Amino acid sequence: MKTLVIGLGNPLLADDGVGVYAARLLRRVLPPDAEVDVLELAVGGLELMEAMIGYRRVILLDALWSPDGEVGQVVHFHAGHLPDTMHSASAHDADLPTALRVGRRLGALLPADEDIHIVAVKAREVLTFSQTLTPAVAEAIPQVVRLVLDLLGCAPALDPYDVPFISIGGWDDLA
Amino acid sequence: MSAPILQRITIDPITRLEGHGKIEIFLDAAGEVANVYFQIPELRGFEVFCLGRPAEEMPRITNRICGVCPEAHHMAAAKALDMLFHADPPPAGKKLRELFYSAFYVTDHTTHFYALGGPDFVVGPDAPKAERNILGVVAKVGLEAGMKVINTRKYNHEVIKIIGGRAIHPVAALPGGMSKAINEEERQFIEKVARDNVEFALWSLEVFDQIVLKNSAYVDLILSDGYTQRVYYMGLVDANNHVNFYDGMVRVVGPDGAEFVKYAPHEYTEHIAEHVEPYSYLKYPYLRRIGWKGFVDGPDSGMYCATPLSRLNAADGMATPRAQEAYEKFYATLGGKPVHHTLATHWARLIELLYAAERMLELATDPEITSPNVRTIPTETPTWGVGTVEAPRGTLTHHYETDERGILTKVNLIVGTTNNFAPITLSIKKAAQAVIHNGVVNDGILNMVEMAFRSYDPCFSCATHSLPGQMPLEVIVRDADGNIVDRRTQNIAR
Repeated sequence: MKTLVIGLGNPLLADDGVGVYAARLLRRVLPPDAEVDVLELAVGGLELMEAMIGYRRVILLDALWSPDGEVGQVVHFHAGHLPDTMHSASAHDADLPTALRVGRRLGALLPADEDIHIVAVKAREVLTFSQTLTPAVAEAIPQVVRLVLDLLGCAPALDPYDVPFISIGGWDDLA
Repeated sequence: MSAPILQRITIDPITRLEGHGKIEIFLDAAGEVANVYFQIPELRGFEVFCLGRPAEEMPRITNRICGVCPEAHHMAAAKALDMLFHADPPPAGKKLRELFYSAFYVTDHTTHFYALGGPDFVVGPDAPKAERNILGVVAKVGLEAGMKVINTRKYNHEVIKIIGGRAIHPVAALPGGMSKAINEEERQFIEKVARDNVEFALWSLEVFDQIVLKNSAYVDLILSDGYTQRVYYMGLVDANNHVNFYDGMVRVVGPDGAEFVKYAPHEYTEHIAEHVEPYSYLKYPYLRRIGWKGFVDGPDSGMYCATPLSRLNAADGMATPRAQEAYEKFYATLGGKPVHHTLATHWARLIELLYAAERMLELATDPEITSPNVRTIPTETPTWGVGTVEAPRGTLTHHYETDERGILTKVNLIVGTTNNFAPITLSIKKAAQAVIHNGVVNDGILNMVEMAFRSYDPCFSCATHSLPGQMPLEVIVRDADGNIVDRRTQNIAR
């Protein structure tokens, strides 16, 4: 079964878009025969859970709001550690762990927590409308993609460090 | 002279990805609540980001402001562009937009009730926190309920995708109408979804009736003073003064229920002004003619509310038959119009769910809905435009001005939750007053404040963010010297 990679975030909110850009870069460098679907999403909770149905493994790429000194660091953990790791909140939906429990309770085919990876870039500038990433966050994008390729166990068709940011940086990728 | 302040209590809804909000409660010398300050982070630079761009990009840009209601911004932006480009959509274009918007309302209100607001009542306000979520609802109402919620979301998302052209960030609405029509096969699918929606909404109202209304403790809570405030109410109405989500006049009624004003959306600046508090960068909209009188309710305070409850109060009824029956029962049960009990907003939301479903069915079976004539091509020089829709969280207004090339020179947005900043602050104050006495903070404060928040379904950052969790809250009680003497938290990682 295929792996699903989801770039989460908003490319209009500066560093918040890092997950989306990383997903686009991944799409550019994946070999054509890779058993991977790549999505860009700006949702959480139930809708995120619903997107995962039918996949054996999911990798979420996201920004993690963090103190200044840690900006640009890349972290990797799985969904079982989510409640302890993030303060993330939405007033409009279930949180992701609850959404996953609901999905499983209702019989949906969902990956185990250990097979839901979160690869996140620590970021600070997520509340300002801008298409510009802070340099440390932008520099982390190829590193995120390398980590994802390692998780997928696949060799890239193109080195992620060789793809210029300008080619993945539009705010609305209609492709 | 006012009493000296003894203690400061801070409730801190810290969120990693939605920013950092803060509630501060100040007590007087007797240990009673004197004041409440409510602060949330605001996204910066939206206007600057938009200025200089072509106006026709706005339906796609603004739907990325908010990960919760992109469809609402897409519609408000498209309507503002209709006016700006002087291109009134043909009837089928308007109907297609409203059909799309009705499907969105069904998903949004369903999600709020079953995932957020409902758990407080369906599972119970006194149930352990860990059970007050959608899983608790499934445990109480049955597995079938969970399947219904998930399927309703799934099929309506499919409808949104069919009409909107894309699942999450719709692209179909353009100045003058829609970019594409629907065919008969798509119409048949949408009609089937709409019929299921009506059944689902009726069933949801039945669940509310059985579990909430037949429980006198819940009804007492809804009617309690801590959750009651008498303010002005705003909502869009059609020509018959019935609730409409997509179009109409903005009607405001007073705390006595009488019409205070009815105006066209583009006249909003004549009627709405914004107050700024020195401690906050939030703007508090109020009724210009009445004036800002602080965080107090009553007919002399210009504070108004824009929520599902407000829309029901501001209208004379619902435009569809089953929703009208539910509307009449609502007011008969709660003692006539208007209803001032903020927790009744959850019930109002379910009545709106039924209306959205019925309206969706009406539109899906309208002979004109598959007409290919869905767009008026703009031919005139662009000027300025205002577009207003009812977002699930309140009246949403987009206002754009351009130069003669259609390049944006002014952008102003009043988003749904902004209307409610003042009443939310007052609700928090009333909730705090109910549970804090003689300087003693009752254990129920976090829950009281959270329940008060939730009835508004507030959108704190109006931003697209990800990996949502429970709302973390922190209460810090400080003595006169600023020392922490008490600290209560929930959902805060350490």
